Amino acid sequence: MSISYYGLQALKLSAESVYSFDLDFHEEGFASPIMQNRLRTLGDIGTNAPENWEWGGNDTDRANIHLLLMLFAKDDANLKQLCETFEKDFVTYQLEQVHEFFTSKMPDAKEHFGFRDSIAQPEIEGYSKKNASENVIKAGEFILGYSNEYNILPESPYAPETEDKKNILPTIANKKGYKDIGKNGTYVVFRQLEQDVKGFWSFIKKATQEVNGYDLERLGAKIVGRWRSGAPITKCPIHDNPDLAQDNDFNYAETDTDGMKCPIGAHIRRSNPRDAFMKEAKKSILFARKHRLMRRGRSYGKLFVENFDLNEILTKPDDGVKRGLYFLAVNANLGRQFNFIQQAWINDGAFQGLSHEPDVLLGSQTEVAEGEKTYFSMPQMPIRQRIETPQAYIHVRGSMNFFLPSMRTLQWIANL
Amino acid sequence: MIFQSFFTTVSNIKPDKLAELRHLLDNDINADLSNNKYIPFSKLPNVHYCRWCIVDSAKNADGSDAPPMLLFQIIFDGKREAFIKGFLQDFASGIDKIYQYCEDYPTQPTYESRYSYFRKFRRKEPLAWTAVRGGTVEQILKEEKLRRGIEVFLDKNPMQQEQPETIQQRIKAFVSNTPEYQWAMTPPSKPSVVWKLAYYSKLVLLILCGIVLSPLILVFAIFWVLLLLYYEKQDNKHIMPLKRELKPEVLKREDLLRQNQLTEYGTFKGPHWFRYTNIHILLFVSSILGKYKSTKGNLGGIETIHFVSWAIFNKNQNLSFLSNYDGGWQSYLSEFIDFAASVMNLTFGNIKGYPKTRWLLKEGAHEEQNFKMIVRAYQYPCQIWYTAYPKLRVKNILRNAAIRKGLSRKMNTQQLQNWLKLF
Ligand code: HEM
Repeated sequence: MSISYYGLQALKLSAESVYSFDLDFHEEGFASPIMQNRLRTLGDIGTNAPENWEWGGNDTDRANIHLLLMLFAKDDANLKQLCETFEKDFVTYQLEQVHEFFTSKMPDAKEHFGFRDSIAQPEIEGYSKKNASENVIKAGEFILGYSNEYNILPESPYAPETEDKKNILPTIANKKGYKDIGKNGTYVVFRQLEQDVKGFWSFIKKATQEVNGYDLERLGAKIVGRWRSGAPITKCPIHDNPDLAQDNDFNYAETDTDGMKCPIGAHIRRSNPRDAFMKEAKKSILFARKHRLMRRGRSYGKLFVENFDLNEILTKPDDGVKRGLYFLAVNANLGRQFNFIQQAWINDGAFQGLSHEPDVLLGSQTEVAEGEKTYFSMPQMPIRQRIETPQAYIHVRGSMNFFLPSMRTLQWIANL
Repeated sequence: MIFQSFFTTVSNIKPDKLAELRHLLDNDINADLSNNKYIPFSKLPNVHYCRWCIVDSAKNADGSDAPPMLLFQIIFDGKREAFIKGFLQDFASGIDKIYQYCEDYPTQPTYESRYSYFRKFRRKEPLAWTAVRGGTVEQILKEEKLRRGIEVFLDKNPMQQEQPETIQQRIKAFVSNTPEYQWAMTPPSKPSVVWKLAYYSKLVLLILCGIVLSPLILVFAIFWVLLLLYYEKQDNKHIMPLKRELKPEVLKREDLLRQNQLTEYGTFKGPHWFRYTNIHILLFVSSILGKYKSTKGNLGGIETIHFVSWAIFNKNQNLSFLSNYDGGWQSYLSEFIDFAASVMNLTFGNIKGYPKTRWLLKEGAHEEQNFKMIVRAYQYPCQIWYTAYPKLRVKNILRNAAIRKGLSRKMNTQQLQNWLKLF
């Protein structure tokens, strides 16, 4: 269970404690400079603006969202039972369910466009069996109370000792007279991203006619950076290789500097440039390690077509069903992790010196607001090919950050 | 070749006119930077960046409030004196409108009195760094148009099956046959021989001086570092915890899509003579490195700064850092912390309130969240900030320049391949 900024207030944490939370977690009305800045930073403007959200898009609704409860069960029947138990509790504890989100089980861990997801995940140092690998990240990047990639403790919210009379919370380093609310807790980004499956593949179909040597599958793979099977195109640029479906053991600098295999603008290369963000590979890795996310997204809405057949997708008339991804990401430092990746890597059309090439998959509204055409270029010898990317096929339909507390902190809150 | 220049002034604002000045800057000028009737930037084609900031939160050395001040910086192409003279003449009424709210500004300004006022209040930047030296506004904008033109040409004429040489020829033919782009076939101007001579002889002179004075410099350096370490220890004893702040006035104007500005100021730590000398030594060394080493748009590992400068004002009690950078605040600060934390410690470490450092270089800016908090605490809004090319990053500018250069340069096979990769 996680708690929103307004939830902390509703649960009667003192103003001082509430203020001590990450400033990027703070909320005010949408008209305030801090929220306006956040919308601009995240690119939640144009078609992604709060006016178009299904929840949390106006001040009243937003202030009413206090808790995010996520229920997991092994099958539908169990889940239903679990939900019913909680619904009863809601009545007992005077909670009101303001929004409900159903998720769908997806075959082969795929998302709605048909790409296998959740392959590249950071492993946590001390928890992972591997050590000293590039992909093993310090715990403090994802959980408060542990050393992070700068070898320091991430900032953690705190409460005056006097507010912890039962002595439930742990002490906090370097803050005499205060207790640690954050330890073993973290921040969760929750965004509802609606996907237009037919629109996306129809756009790619049209684009294949503008370039040479690409079919649907290959052009889609270029845009994402992985084939739909999951195989990384930097390893198998010409043909899919399903044996590599869950491969995450690759870098770009040595074998793919210029993006001839995996374009610089591909979704996975820009959301984690690994060793190729700057000329020096080692420096690049150190930098990229400070901007990682633990993604825990879940798809929602019925599949557009079973088994993701592209021909069927293109021929079947639009069914009007709403579907997409509940994007969930865990990070200890919202500004440096989620916000940074979204702003500097995904939305920025000038990422690594590109010109007007924001992430095609997510489709930035920021360039649109500037009246610019956007593109996606695929470097190749002797000269690149480039397509125009006229519109976005993923739209934000709700977004809010939550604090995921430790059991101890929950206990402390229950005793407030 | 035309080089860019900086011009910075700091004036005192008449305290009772602060609100009126703020209104003028915020509402009358900032509302329409291009075409407002006071300083219409569309009529200033040689200006790269310009800012007016009301400095109303500075502290004197003794901790008391400094008087409200107006900081002005303009970065432009060409020689300083000629440009400023023209600027004061062409925009006299706008300048008078702004500066009537400042102390000491002539009540009946004439061309001469205006100019001498600006000369009097000029604050020479101890360090002023330019990413793309000699790239005039006109050239930057033209080269971007050129790149766009060639890219569209390439989109319309697929040439994946052609030889690199053929592609090159066709691009060249396209450029020379399009009247709009013909200019690009002549190579960009290079620094004159006289300039080069002066540039390198200065370097030789510096090196010679360095060699001759090396024993003295060494002794002085040891003494100075020991002194720094002594003061570091003293400073660490009484560091005031700062408040984490959201600063709505800053947030309101920040995180624009591709470029942003940073305005920081603070008060020198004591003893003043020491800190003042120290920053001058540091910035002197940095400016030499900046001039001779960081010439390719890369300042000590940071590739997102267009122009950056330092200024000292308020009877030398305040130090400010003014930069024009690419991307958002988070990414800019993250780069500083990851690539230049030690330099931050050496420079910002002279300002009151800077966090604890160890051995001068360690800790301080290496502590990411704490450093970001400090930067925020000393950051103030800028009422007016103008950029001539808001959509271009340093990397775009460099790439565009390389594309243009390639049009008139002889290239071998490898060079040609690399040139084609620029598209
Ligand atoms: C509906 C929206 C999205 C879809 C369909 C999507 C799809 C994908 C897919 C198919 C992959 C490759 C699988 C993998 O490497 O695990 C991937 C990777 C990734 N995505 Fe997304 N994504 C979406 C939104 C986002 C957003 C909003 C962010 C962050 C701001 C993001 C960040 C990442 C990251 C960090 C990776 C891993 C890259 C790596 O480490 O190589 N994605 N995404």
